[in-house]
Amino acid sequence: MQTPIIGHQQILEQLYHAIASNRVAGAYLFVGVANVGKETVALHFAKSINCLSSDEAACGTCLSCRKADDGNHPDLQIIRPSGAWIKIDQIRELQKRIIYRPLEGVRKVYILTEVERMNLEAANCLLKTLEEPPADSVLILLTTNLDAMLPTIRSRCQIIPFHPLLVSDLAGHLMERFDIDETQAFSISTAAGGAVGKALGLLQDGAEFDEDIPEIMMAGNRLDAFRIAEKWTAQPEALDHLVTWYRDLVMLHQGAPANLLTHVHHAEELRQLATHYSRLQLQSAIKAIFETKAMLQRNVNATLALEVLALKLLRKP
Amino acid sequence: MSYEVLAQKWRPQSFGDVVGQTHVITTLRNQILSDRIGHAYLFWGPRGTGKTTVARILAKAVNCPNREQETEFSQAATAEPCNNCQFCSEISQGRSFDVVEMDAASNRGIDPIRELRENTKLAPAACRYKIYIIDEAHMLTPEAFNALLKTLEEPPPHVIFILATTEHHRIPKTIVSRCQDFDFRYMEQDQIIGRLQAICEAEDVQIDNQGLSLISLQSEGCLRDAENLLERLTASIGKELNVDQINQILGFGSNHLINELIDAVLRTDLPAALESLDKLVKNGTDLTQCLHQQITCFRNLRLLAIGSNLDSIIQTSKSELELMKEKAHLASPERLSRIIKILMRTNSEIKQHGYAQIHLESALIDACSIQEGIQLTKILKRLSEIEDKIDRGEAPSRTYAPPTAPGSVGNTPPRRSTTAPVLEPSAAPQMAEPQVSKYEAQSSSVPNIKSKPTSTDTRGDKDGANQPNIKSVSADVQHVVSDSNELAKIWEKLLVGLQERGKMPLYGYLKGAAPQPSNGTEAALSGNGLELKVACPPAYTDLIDDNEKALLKEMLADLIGTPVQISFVASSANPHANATLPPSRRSQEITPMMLQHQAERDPEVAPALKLFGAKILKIEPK
Repeated sequence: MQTPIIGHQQILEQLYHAIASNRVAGAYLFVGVANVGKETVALHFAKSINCLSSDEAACGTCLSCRKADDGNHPDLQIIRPSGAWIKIDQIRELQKRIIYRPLEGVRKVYILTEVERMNLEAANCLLKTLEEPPADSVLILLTTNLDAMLPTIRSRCQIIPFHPLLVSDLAGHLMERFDIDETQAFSISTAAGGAVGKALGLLQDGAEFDEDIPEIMMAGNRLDAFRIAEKWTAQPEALDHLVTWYRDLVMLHQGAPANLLTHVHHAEELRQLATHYSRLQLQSAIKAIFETKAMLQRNVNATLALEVLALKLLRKP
Repeated sequence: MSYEVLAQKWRPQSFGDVVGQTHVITTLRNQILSDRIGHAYLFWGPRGTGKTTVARILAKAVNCPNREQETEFSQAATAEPCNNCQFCSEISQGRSFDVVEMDAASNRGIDPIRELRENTKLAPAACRYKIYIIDEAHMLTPEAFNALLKTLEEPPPHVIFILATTEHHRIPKTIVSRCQDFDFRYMEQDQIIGRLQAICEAEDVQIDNQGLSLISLQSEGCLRDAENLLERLTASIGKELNVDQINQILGFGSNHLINELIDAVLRTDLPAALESLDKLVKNGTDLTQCLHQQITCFRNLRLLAIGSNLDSIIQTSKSELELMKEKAHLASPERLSRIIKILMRTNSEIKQHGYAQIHLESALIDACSIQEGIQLTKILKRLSEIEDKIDRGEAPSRTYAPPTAPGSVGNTPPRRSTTAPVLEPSAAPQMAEPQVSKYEAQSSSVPNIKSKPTSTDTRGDKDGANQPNIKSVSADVQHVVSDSNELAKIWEKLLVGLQERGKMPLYGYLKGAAPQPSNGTEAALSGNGLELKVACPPAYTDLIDDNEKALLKEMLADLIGTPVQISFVASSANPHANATLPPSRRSQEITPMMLQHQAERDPEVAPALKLFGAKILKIEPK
């Protein structure tokens, strides 16, 4: 029995509609932040195209769907970066195979993940195939960064943007499907920034977010900063969580109504806290968190970066 | 099961169908008609503007045998391929032996080019010409390009090369110079709308003009992008499209909400702005799209704020335009520019870090905090006025009150600035030299008037700053004598001249000194020319020797245009002539530096110093 996809209803409807009206295009480009559900939807779309028993959504029970689930459907192939890049040889290989007719299914589906990591030669190599793919094939490109793609590639694909889910929606789904309480569901969805895959990953790791005001906002002692930084080092997702708190502080500081807050339960305490900061302090705190996040992705010394961040965020006495 | 997307299905099959690119089409048509077909073409331009399409049409047109039979109907028809004959349909389906479409990006090495070169020698199988379309030509390796050079220069008579690329700069110059260069351009909005309309009619898709213009705006002038958008819309919605659905699918915020947001920002009503943003998020708006919409909107408002006749540049419906015109009064172009800057910065931040909502909220907070400020140019002007005053040794905030007639000094500057040579009521009787005599009259209560710029000078500066620059200085010496502003200007020029000549010590002595025309203006212009008294601290007057005086005279004569006599008057009260100091500190202080200088020039000390090559280390008071 297959589990339904969380969120992205509108996109799924569009894709189902395309299948039902026999208007499936030859090339799609799915764009969205990491782990938002692009690959899940792409796989589901592929199954739905080839599903033997349904005209729209994949049934999940027919031979074709089960083969796809098990990863041995001959007409479904996923191409991932080999090493750091998707290389031109991988694309040439694809071009060789794509001209053949599908073996079992209605159409051959090729899913290329992380195409922003396709090198320039490979990307150009793909252009002619994308422009006029063989009639019985579908190429689905997945990327996190539309701007990293060649304009010539973008122009040849049906671009489908994936948005993170609303935190409340995602929390609802999580509560429905897993045995967790509301506060946990909310804090996980918040930390995941509405990306389904990330939320599921956090849930699986058993990450726990205390739904209390972050220590760093209360701490005044420099030694505390180092202790907190150590915690962050063990759990870098905490930064994603942290930024939502600072965002709430800015909002309150600027007189936004409480219903816009992420952490509505703590509105009163936050309102108190907000008075201790100036707007610029709060905004630069958010900026500092984002910069640290970017730095962490660039292989800096994590402990050092987080300690610097903690010291920066420390409230000046 | 061979569904083709709209962009493929509606790929033009004859020159007449091609949208835009008239400069290319006309040339090619004429070439075909006059049978002057080149042997190598280079088509370049942005994606989705028709390069490959035109290359294929050209291939058909030169090979189609039916083309010439149509001459009797019309001239334009002659260049068009018939699209019926065997050759045309073979080429259209991509299975002609004689039209080879090579994907240079996949076959970028030297080997495929060598193979191609071998094949060019063979005569065409059926058609008149053998045509090589080398698409994405920019991806060929340098070796491959070089291998192609000789063939491209003088191909066999039956061969035509067509190179197509999006990146002209990556094609070697040697290749470009062997080809006929055709640039394909972005298409106009209405050309795209026209094409989309035709497709919609043929495909039985219902869509209104607003929807079409939304699509064409999004496509940025590339027809394929526009057609793909239409494809996506019809695939996901169906044959009947309305604007709301289009907004929804493309992730645009509804105009209503965007307008709400922009109103709030213009009113600097932050909570309202944040609420509208929240609504947009809940409606599933793509926040980056929403950001682009806001930028466009503010840009349009800025255009209207600059001039309401700029509305022809703005692409929007009449009703929207009216709404915008109402709003345009709410903000100055400067403020709108700053808002746009904030939004642009946010755009790049979102690209870098994600978290569009938080960044957009920050942007709104920043945008709402921009008050309708003073224009930068005005601030600069005021600053330069103040600087001007300080340079003349006059402080904007004076510690002592103007000696006389405070009303006439303090209250009237704005009026003064419009009428330059003002006649003060108090100075009225002395018509000949009203201003100078007025200084005398007004400042008579202050001792050492000549040495000290008085409050009336402040007023005089104002006149000077607002007067048109007077160039006829030398012509009107009398004027110079009479007007202390003129004099001050000349003095400044003199100082600059001294600096340029490297006479820094002299410059230093005179910097604080104030020139005054000799008392009694009639006497100022005597047979000896202009007599100039320079008020200078006594410590300095002794330091200026005869050579330096001669130099000063010479320079001043040059500047004024008449011989000048200089005499230095000791000013006891104000050695620095620097009014920024409070009066208490304006006592006669001689710095150690000055003392040392004085000592070095002392007629008794100086030879001793020279004799022994000595230095003065310390000066002790007697």
